[in-house]
Amino acid sequence: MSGWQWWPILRVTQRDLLAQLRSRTFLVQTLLLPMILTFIIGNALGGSSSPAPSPVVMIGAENRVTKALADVLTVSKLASIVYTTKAVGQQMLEAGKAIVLIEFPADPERTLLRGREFPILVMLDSASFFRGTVIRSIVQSFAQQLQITRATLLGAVRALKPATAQELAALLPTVQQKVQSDFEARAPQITATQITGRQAGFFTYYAIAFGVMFTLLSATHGAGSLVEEFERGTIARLLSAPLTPAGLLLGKFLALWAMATFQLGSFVLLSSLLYGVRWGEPLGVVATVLATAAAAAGFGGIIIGLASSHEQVNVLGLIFVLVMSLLGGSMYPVDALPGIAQQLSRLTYNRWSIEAFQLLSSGVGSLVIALDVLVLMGMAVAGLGIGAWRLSRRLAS
Amino acid sequence: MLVVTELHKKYGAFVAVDSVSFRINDGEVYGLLGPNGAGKSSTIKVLSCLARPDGGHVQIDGLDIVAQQAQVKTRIGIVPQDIALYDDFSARENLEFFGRLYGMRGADLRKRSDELLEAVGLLERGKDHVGSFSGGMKRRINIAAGLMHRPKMLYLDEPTVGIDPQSRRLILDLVKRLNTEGLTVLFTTHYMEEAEELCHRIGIIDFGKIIAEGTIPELRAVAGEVSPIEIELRDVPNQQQLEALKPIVESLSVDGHRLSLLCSDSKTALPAILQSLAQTGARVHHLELDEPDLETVFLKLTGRRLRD
Repeated sequence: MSGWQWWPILRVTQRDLLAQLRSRTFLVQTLLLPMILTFIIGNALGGSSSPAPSPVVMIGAENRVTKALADVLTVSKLASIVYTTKAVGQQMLEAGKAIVLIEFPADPERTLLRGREFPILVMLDSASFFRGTVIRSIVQSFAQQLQITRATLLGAVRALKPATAQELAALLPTVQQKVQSDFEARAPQITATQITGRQAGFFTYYAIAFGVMFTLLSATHGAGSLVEEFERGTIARLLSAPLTPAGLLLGKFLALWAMATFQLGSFVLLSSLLYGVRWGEPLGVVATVLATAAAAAGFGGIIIGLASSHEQVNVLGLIFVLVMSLLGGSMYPVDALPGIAQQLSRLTYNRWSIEAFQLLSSGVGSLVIALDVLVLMGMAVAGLGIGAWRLSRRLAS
Repeated sequence: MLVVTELHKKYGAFVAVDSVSFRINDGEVYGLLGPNGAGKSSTIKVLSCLARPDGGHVQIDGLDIVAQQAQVKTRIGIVPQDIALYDDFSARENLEFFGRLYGMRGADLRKRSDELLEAVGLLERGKDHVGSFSGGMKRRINIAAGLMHRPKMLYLDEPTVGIDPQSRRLILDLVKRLNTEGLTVLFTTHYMEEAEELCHRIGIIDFGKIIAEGTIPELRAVAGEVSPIEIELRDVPNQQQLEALKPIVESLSVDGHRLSLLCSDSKTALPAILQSLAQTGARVHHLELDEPDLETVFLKLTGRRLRD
């Protein structure tokens, strides 16, 4: 093509990137805001997929019974255990530093085997009602298991009829060992397999949905850079240089693409590190990030071609972001929308991007998302073409 | 260097440039003079490859402005009327960015930006953001940005509007120096004294047409024997006094106590003017007889002042 040179295009890209990176609002707008909103909304709607363990107080010193319960609670990552006195434990509960307090009898093994009463005290913080209730139900199950174990042991001991306390003491370890070895020999066989195709949790879903939406928001907002060239008068300098209107738009598109890739890539990385969001197979995630960013930049390109003032950039950006986010699943899951809206969602960038990320998050390989990536790249090319056509017409008039 | 033939440009039904033809020779400073809306900016827009002509031809350095636009663009430098710089970039960054657009890089880029920063007296402020500069300093960097890629021809569109006398002097001296080094310049301005100081030849444009063209002596000749007379009265002249002057002068305008007159033959007209003023009771405080200038020429040709 006559007059088509790459260096002025790349210089425009470079300038726009530099200007963005120097902007004070850049970090807030592109990284912090989506992270904070994802955290708030993800938690409000369903809690984190990897909740932090809650502190649970066990009264007294560690022993075999309390350790057995503590193991159950800590292995499930539901709780972290603190052993302390009852007075301190109550203070912790009242101060919100613990959500459950559990007190067993002072010598639980002896109490069990002597057939004495076995009271278990469970105190809950009402502010952590749901998690406290789960822990209480686990304690109840644990108590039932203790009861079964005690009945088994006592039954065995009674059958052997020891005459003296010394005989009983000598018998107990043998019986205990026999019961345990029988149990282990007939232990239930658990086969663990990983399944794919599960639904992402709310947190993961909204991390994906918000990441995608904010990428579009930033790209449409960045489209204002051409309006600034008009306002500054630099558009005359740029176009009197070896740069065509289409080349100028391409330079700005590349800057938007790079920024959107940086934003979404950082979001993926940070949400994975900070919130434990599982994005899936890395190669597929990289491809989806690039395609999503390109599509967002493509919509930015359309706005560049259409808008001649900052007001128009804002209005068009808002329309694009709201309509596509509503229809495309960034605000409500697409499954929850009426049938016609689900069909229309295929026209939105959010739908294809969220679908690709969800598939990857569910554990599938990269090839499955090929169609989504192709559609997103197609949107990018179409956006760039429409923007270039509109901008050339505007400048010619 | 520049040959404009029957250039035509319209926006909708409005004809901005109507069959304009002129030529600028190598190493010449050519002034395009005209009031606002006369067609100067539209002409420069076409010459800068920012708008396609609707008719006519333009050749720059032997290259057609439409068919060989890419080559033409490397030969021209533009200095827009409004400051066209990035406030968030330093002066040096601005110059280097505009240089890079033309493929400049490395040592040549740095050397050229140093040269130009020095030429506009801002070498020490090269690292400062343009946003912190005064209007005059911005104007100087604005010119330097248009020169980065060493164009053969520079378009200067009203480069001294609204700046301090020191920056203005610096800009005019810079243009003179660049011209002596071989740069061809197309210069538009409202300031007659600037045009008279800088331009080898001048084209006067009004309503999209060139109405007169030539060197300053040639244009003065267009004005013929018409001479401007400035008279300051002790009192504001009344209608009777003005009516009495009209048969004697070619044109008359009033600004408070001040009368601006244009006479075909000031030597014979002046006694009649003074006599008429005396008869109507007007008292003359100050009188000035000027040589005809470009303003006189424009007034003579259009009946209007350039700044009207």
